[in-house]
Amino acid sequence: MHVILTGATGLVGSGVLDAMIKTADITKISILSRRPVPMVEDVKDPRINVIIHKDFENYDSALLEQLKGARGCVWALGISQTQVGAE
Amino acid sequence: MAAAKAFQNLASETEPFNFVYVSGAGASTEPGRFAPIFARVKGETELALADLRKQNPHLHALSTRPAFVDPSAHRAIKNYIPAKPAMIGLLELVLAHPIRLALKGQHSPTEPLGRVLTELAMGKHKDQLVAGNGIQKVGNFPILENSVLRRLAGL
Repeated sequence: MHVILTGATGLVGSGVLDAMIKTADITKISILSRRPVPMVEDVKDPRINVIIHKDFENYDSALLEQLKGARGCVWALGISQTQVGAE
Repeated sequence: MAAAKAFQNLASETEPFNFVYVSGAGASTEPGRFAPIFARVKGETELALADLRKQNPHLHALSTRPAFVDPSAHRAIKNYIPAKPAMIGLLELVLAHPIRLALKGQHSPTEPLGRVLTELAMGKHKDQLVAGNGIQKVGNFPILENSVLRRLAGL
């Protein structure tokens, strides 16, 4: 199964990434991230594709083409509630 | 929200798309006057997702509300998680043990949390997502409190 993950460099996202890596039924993990994901670089799992994506308001067809076939995603983007600023 | 709208094209008649939104305990779809900003913002996102789900029934969106996310037992991710500002780190250190011991319902250890969120994204546990017992439903859109995540994880 192909799944998508955002927020992979964060607290919850890292935990989810680890779980996805450990799930044998997952055949492909597409990570949308604003920057490279150190955990991915160290783990070197061929199922993982990190897509560097800076603008989370826009998703063009080239990107969606890469995400085709995904059955689900975990949206773990955001920051801790204790650190949220007033904006 | 832009992503959820874009991703709904990944869903189809035969294969719904599971969009698992990580919200947080304290988020509310009906914030009172004194609710903190994050409660309102996350609550609004939850309602927007519920609405999107209503418009596109193949987009199986749901929201989860972890509470005290605790990576201390999760060796695999220890080197990769962001550092917290010193004061918050200190506060969490003080609160961690009482939460782990006395307020288990608020405890969200990262390893089981990661596992449950992954399973939900894969479309598992759908038969459990009925209203009641920590699950609020806005139409077909489930909002899962931390207690439910713990239960699904077997904690």
